Amino acid sequence: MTIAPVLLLAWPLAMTPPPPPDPPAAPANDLAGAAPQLDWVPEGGDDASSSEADPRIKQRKIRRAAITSVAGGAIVVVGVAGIVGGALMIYMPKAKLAKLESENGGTLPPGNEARQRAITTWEAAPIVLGIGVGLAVVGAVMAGVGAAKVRKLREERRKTVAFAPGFFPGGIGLAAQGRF
Amino acid sequence: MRTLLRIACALAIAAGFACDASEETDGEPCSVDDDCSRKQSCLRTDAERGLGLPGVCSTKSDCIHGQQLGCACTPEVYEADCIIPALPLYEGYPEMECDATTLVCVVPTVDEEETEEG
Repeated sequence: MTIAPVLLLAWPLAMTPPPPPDPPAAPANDLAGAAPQLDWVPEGGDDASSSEADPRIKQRKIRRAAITSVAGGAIVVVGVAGIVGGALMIYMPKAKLAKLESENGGTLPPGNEARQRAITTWEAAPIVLGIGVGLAVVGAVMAGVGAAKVRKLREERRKTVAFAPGFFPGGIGLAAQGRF
Repeated sequence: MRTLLRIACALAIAAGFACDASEETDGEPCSVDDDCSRKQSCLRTDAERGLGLPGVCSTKSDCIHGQQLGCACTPEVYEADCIIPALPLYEGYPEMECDATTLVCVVPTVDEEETEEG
Protein backbone atom coordinates (compact mmCIF):
# COMPACT_ATOMS: atom_id res chain seq x y z
CA MET A 1 0.00 0.00 0.00
CA THR A 2 1.33 3.39 -0.85
CA ILE A 3 0.63 6.37 1.27
CA ALA A 4 1.75 9.61 -0.22
CA PRO A 5 1.08 12.45 2.11
CA VAL A 6 1.97 15.77 0.70
CA LEU A 7 3.24 18.25 3.18
CA LEU A 8 3.08 21.79 2.12
CA LEU A 9 5.01 24.34 4.04
CA ALA A 10 4.29 27.83 2.98
CA TRP A 11 5.69 30.99 4.37
CA PRO A 12 3.17 33.78 4.59
CA LEU A 13 3.90 36.88 2.66
CA ALA A 14 4.13 38.90 5.90
CA MET A 15 7.56 37.40 6.48
CA THR A 16 8.81 38.48 3.09
CA PRO A 17 9.31 41.97 1.66
CA PRO A 18 6.13 43.84 0.63
CA PRO A 19 4.61 42.18 -2.35
CA PRO A 20 4.21 43.88 -5.67
CA PRO A 21 0.69 44.90 -6.57
CA ASP A 22 -1.53 41.98 -7.31
CA PRO A 23 -1.57 41.06 -10.97
CA PRO A 24 -4.92 41.29 -12.68
CA ALA A 25 -7.06 38.30 -11.83
CA ALA A 26 -6.51 35.52 -14.31
CA PRO A 27 -9.51 33.93 -15.90
CA ALA A 28 -10.65 30.76 -14.17
CA ASN A 29 -9.46 28.54 -16.98
CA ASP A 30 -5.88 29.80 -16.55
CA LEU A 31 -5.63 28.59 -12.95
CA ALA A 32 -4.21 25.26 -14.08
CA GLY A 33 -1.47 27.03 -15.94
CA ALA A 34 -0.64 29.11 -12.89
CA ALA A 35 -0.28 26.03 -10.66
CA PRO A 36 3.33 25.34 -9.65
CA GLN A 37 5.17 22.69 -11.55
CA LEU A 38 7.03 20.67 -8.95
CA ASP A 39 10.48 19.42 -9.80
CA TRP A 40 11.38 16.29 -7.91
CA VAL A 41 14.61 16.59 -6.03
CA PRO A 42 15.55 13.14 -4.86
CA GLU A 43 17.06 12.62 -1.47
CA GLY A 44 20.48 11.08 -1.50
CA GLY A 45 22.55 13.74 -3.20
CA ASP A 46 24.58 12.91 -6.28
CA ASP A 47 24.15 9.17 -5.84
CA ALA A 48 20.46 9.36 -6.47
CA SER A 49 19.38 9.98 -9.99
CA SER A 50 16.18 11.79 -10.57
CA SER A 51 14.82 9.01 -12.79
CA GLU A 52 15.31 6.40 -10.07
CA ALA A 53 13.49 8.46 -7.53
CA ASP A 54 10.55 9.28 -9.74
CA PRO A 55 7.81 7.14 -8.28
CA ARG A 56 6.08 6.82 -11.63
CA ILE A 57 9.16 5.31 -13.26
CA LYS A 58 9.68 3.07 -10.26
CA GLN A 59 6.05 1.99 -10.41
CA ARG A 60 6.48 1.21 -14.09
CA LYS A 61 9.55 -0.87 -13.31
CA ILE A 62 7.70 -2.74 -10.60
CA ARG A 63 4.86 -3.43 -12.99
CA ARG A 64 7.29 -4.66 -15.64
CA ALA A 65 9.07 -6.93 -13.16
CA ALA A 66 5.73 -8.26 -11.93
CA ILE A 67 4.68 -8.99 -15.52
CA THR A 68 8.00 -10.80 -16.06
CA SER A 69 7.38 -12.83 -12.93
CA VAL A 70 3.83 -13.75 -13.91
CA ALA A 71 4.93 -14.57 -17.49
CA GLY A 72 7.66 -16.78 -16.02
CA GLY A 73 5.07 -18.58 -13.94
CA ALA A 74 2.91 -19.11 -17.02
CA ILE A 75 5.91 -20.48 -18.92
CA VAL A 76 6.63 -22.85 -16.04
CA VAL A 77 3.04 -24.11 -16.29
CA VAL A 78 3.44 -24.67 -20.05
CA GLY A 79 6.77 -26.41 -19.44
CA VAL A 80 5.29 -28.71 -16.81
CA ALA A 81 2.45 -29.48 -19.22
CA GLY A 82 5.10 -30.36 -21.82
CA ILE A 83 6.86 -32.68 -19.38
CA VAL A 84 3.59 -34.40 -18.49
CA GLY A 85 2.67 -34.60 -22.18
CA GLY A 86 6.08 -36.03 -23.03
CA ALA A 87 5.75 -38.64 -20.31
CA LEU A 88 2.32 -39.59 -21.66
CA MET A 89 3.79 -39.78 -25.16
CA ILE A 90 6.06 -42.53 -23.86
CA TYR A 91 3.63 -44.30 -21.57
CA MET A 92 0.72 -44.58 -24.00
CA PRO A 93 2.63 -45.99 -27.02
CA LYS A 94 4.38 -48.42 -24.69
CA ALA A 95 1.00 -49.67 -23.50
CA LYS A 96 -0.25 -49.79 -27.10
CA LEU A 97 2.72 -51.89 -28.25
CA ALA A 98 2.27 -54.26 -25.31
CA LYS A 99 -1.40 -54.66 -26.24
CA LEU A 100 -0.60 -55.30 -29.91
CA GLU A 101 2.00 -57.85 -28.89
CA SER A 102 -0.38 -59.75 -26.64
CA GLU A 103 -3.08 -59.71 -29.34
CA ASN A 104 -0.66 -61.05 -31.93
CA GLY A 105 0.71 -64.10 -30.16
CA GLY A 106 3.68 -62.41 -28.53
CA THR A 107 5.08 -60.54 -31.52
CA LEU A 108 4.29 -57.14 -32.98
CA PRO A 109 2.32 -57.34 -36.22
CA PRO A 110 4.51 -56.21 -39.15
CA GLY A 111 3.22 -53.35 -41.28
CA ASN A 112 0.60 -52.41 -38.69
CA GLU A 113 -0.38 -48.72 -38.74
CA ALA A 114 -1.11 -48.54 -35.01
CA ARG A 115 2.34 -49.97 -34.31
CA GLN A 116 4.02 -47.43 -36.58
CA ARG A 117 2.05 -44.57 -35.03
CA ALA A 118 2.96 -45.72 -31.52
CA ILE A 119 6.67 -45.87 -32.41
CA THR A 120 6.58 -42.42 -34.05
CA THR A 121 4.82 -40.93 -31.02
CA TRP A 122 7.25 -42.57 -28.61
CA GLU A 123 10.21 -41.24 -30.55
CA ALA A 124 8.83 -37.70 -30.58
CA ALA A 125 8.40 -37.77 -26.80
CA PRO A 126 11.99 -36.80 -25.90
CA ILE A 127 11.64 -33.66 -28.05
CA VAL A 128 8.45 -32.66 -26.23
CA LEU A 129 10.06 -33.55 -22.90
CA GLY A 130 13.14 -31.52 -23.80
CA ILE A 131 11.09 -28.47 -24.77
CA GLY A 132 9.02 -28.89 -21.59
CA VAL A 133 12.11 -29.05 -19.40
CA GLY A 134 13.60 -26.05 -21.22
CA LEU A 135 10.47 -23.97 -20.79
CA ALA A 136 10.14 -24.96 -17.14
CA VAL A 137 13.74 -23.92 -16.44
CA VAL A 138 13.46 -20.63 -18.37
CA GLY A 139 10.09 -19.87 -16.75
CA ALA A 140 11.39 -20.61 -13.28
CA VAL A 141 14.38 -18.31 -13.83
CA MET A 142 12.11 -15.56 -15.19
CA ALA A 143 9.67 -15.93 -12.31
CA GLY A 144 12.47 -15.95 -9.75
CA VAL A 145 14.28 -12.95 -11.18
CA GLY A 146 11.01 -11.02 -11.67
CA ALA A 147 9.83 -11.71 -8.12
CA ALA A 148 13.20 -10.74 -6.65
CA LYS A 149 13.18 -7.52 -8.64
CA VAL A 150 9.65 -6.68 -7.53
CA ARG A 151 10.62 -7.25 -3.89
CA LYS A 152 13.73 -5.09 -4.27
CA LEU A 153 11.88 -2.25 -6.02
CA ARG A 154 9.07 -2.30 -3.48
CA GLU A 155 11.60 -2.14 -0.71
CA GLU A 156 13.26 0.85 -2.39
CA ARG A 157 9.93 2.54 -2.94
CA ARG A 158 9.07 2.29 0.75
CA LYS A 159 12.11 4.36 1.56
CA THR A 160 11.43 7.04 -1.00
CA VAL A 161 11.10 10.60 0.27
CA ALA A 162 11.02 13.37 -2.28
CA PHE A 163 11.12 17.11 -1.76
CA ALA A 164 10.04 19.73 -4.21
CA PRO A 165 10.28 23.49 -3.90
CA GLY A 166 7.22 25.34 -5.01
CA PHE A 167 6.63 28.93 -6.03
CA PHE A 168 3.11 30.10 -5.48
CA PRO A 169 1.46 33.43 -6.32
CA GLY A 170 1.26 34.12 -2.61
CA GLY A 171 4.72 32.92 -1.56
CA ILE A 172 7.10 29.99 -1.74
CA GLY A 173 6.64 26.50 -0.42
CA LEU A 174 8.22 23.14 0.02
CA ALA A 175 6.38 19.99 -0.92
CA ALA A 176 7.54 16.75 0.69
CA GLN A 177 6.28 13.39 -0.43
CA GLY A 178 7.06 10.29 1.53
CA ARG A 179 6.17 6.69 0.79
CA PHE A 180 5.99 4.12 3.53
CA MET B 1 18.91 -28.50 -27.90
CA ARG B 2 20.96 -31.69 -27.63
CA THR B 3 21.69 -30.93 -23.99
CA LEU B 4 18.01 -30.42 -23.34
CA LEU B 5 17.24 -33.74 -24.99
CA ARG B 6 19.84 -35.41 -22.78
CA ILE B 7 18.29 -33.84 -19.69
CA ALA B 8 14.86 -34.95 -20.88
CA CYS B 9 16.16 -38.46 -21.52
CA ALA B 10 17.74 -38.55 -18.08
CA LEU B 11 14.42 -37.48 -16.58
CA ALA B 12 12.54 -40.03 -18.64
CA ILE B 13 14.92 -42.80 -17.59
CA ALA B 14 14.66 -41.65 -13.98
CA ALA B 15 10.90 -41.90 -14.31
CA GLY B 16 11.24 -45.44 -15.58
CA PHE B 17 10.74 -44.76 -19.28
CA ALA B 18 13.03 -45.54 -22.17
CA CYS B 19 13.89 -42.68 -24.48
CA ASP B 20 13.11 -44.58 -27.62
CA ALA B 21 11.22 -47.66 -28.66
CA SER B 22 14.28 -49.68 -29.71
CA GLU B 23 14.05 -52.09 -26.79
CA GLU B 24 10.41 -52.81 -27.58
CA THR B 25 10.96 -53.39 -31.28
CA ASP B 26 14.32 -55.18 -31.18
CA GLY B 27 13.98 -58.63 -32.76
CA GLU B 28 10.35 -58.00 -33.73
CA PRO B 29 9.02 -58.88 -37.18
CA CYS B 30 8.76 -56.02 -39.64
CA SER B 31 7.99 -55.32 -43.24
CA VAL B 32 9.28 -51.73 -43.52
CA ASP B 33 11.68 -49.53 -41.57
CA ASP B 34 8.74 -47.65 -40.03
CA ASP B 35 7.93 -50.81 -38.07
CA CYS B 36 11.20 -50.38 -36.17
CA SER B 37 12.69 -47.73 -33.97
CA ARG B 38 14.70 -44.85 -35.47
CA LYS B 39 17.95 -46.50 -34.40
CA GLN B 40 17.05 -49.75 -36.14
CA SER B 41 16.27 -50.90 -39.63
CA CYS B 42 14.09 -53.67 -40.94
CA LEU B 43 16.45 -56.42 -42.08
CA ARG B 44 14.51 -58.31 -44.72
CA THR B 45 16.15 -60.55 -47.25
CA ASP B 46 14.98 -60.99 -50.82
CA ALA B 47 14.06 -64.58 -50.03
CA GLU B 48 11.82 -63.46 -47.18
CA ARG B 49 10.26 -60.76 -49.35
CA GLY B 50 9.64 -63.28 -52.09
CA LEU B 51 7.79 -65.60 -49.74
CA GLY B 52 5.90 -62.76 -48.07
CA LEU B 53 7.75 -63.32 -44.81
CA PRO B 54 8.65 -60.49 -42.47
CA GLY B 55 12.14 -59.27 -41.75
CA VAL B 56 13.45 -58.45 -38.31
CA CYS B 57 14.11 -55.11 -36.56
CA SER B 58 17.76 -54.80 -35.67
CA THR B 59 20.51 -52.24 -35.27
CA LYS B 60 22.70 -54.36 -37.54
CA SER B 61 23.17 -53.30 -41.11
CA ASP B 62 23.07 -56.75 -42.68
CA CYS B 63 20.78 -59.75 -42.20
CA ILE B 64 21.25 -61.86 -39.09
CA HIS B 65 23.88 -64.43 -39.90
CA GLY B 66 22.51 -67.98 -39.96
CA GLN B 67 19.09 -67.00 -38.62
CA GLN B 68 17.24 -65.55 -41.60
CA LEU B 69 16.07 -67.10 -44.79
CA GLY B 70 18.42 -66.11 -47.61
CA CYS B 71 21.14 -65.03 -45.23
CA ALA B 72 24.63 -66.52 -45.04
CA CYS B 73 25.17 -69.32 -42.55
CA THR B 74 27.90 -71.41 -40.96
CA PRO B 75 26.96 -75.09 -40.56
CA GLU B 76 29.56 -75.73 -37.87
CA VAL B 77 28.20 -73.02 -35.57
CA TYR B 78 24.99 -73.95 -33.80
CA GLU B 79 23.65 -70.38 -33.55
CA ALA B 80 24.39 -69.77 -37.23
CA ASP B 81 23.27 -73.01 -38.89
CA CYS B 82 19.70 -71.78 -39.62
CA ILE B 83 18.10 -73.98 -36.93
CA ILE B 84 17.24 -71.03 -34.71
CA PRO B 85 15.32 -68.39 -36.68
CA ALA B 86 15.58 -64.72 -35.84
CA LEU B 87 11.81 -64.71 -35.36
CA PRO B 88 11.15 -67.78 -33.20
CA LEU B 89 7.69 -66.64 -32.15
CA TYR B 90 6.43 -65.64 -35.58
CA GLU B 91 3.92 -68.16 -36.80
CA GLY B 92 4.44 -69.17 -40.38
CA TYR B 93 8.19 -68.69 -40.52
CA PRO B 94 9.43 -71.85 -42.23
CA GLU B 95 12.03 -74.21 -40.88
CA MET B 96 15.40 -73.63 -42.53
CA GLU B 97 18.63 -75.39 -43.13
CA CYS B 98 22.08 -74.22 -44.03
CA ASP B 99 22.75 -75.16 -47.64
CA ALA B 100 26.14 -76.84 -47.61
CA THR B 101 26.93 -75.66 -51.14
CA THR B 102 25.85 -72.04 -51.06
CA LEU B 103 26.17 -71.54 -47.27
CA VAL B 104 22.85 -69.70 -47.22
CA CYS B 105 19.78 -70.44 -45.10
CA VAL B 106 17.19 -72.08 -47.34
CA VAL B 107 13.87 -73.84 -46.97
CA PRO B 108 14.48 -77.57 -47.31
CA THR B 109 12.89 -78.94 -50.46
CA VAL B 110 10.33 -81.72 -50.18
CA ASP B 111 12.63 -84.12 -52.06
CA GLU B 112 15.42 -83.54 -49.60
CA GLU B 113 13.06 -84.14 -46.66
CA GLU B 114 11.74 -87.33 -48.23
CA THR B 115 15.27 -88.51 -49.00
CA GLU B 116 16.28 -87.86 -45.42
CA GLU B 117 13.21 -89.77 -44.16
CA GLY B 118 13.79 -92.63 -46.63
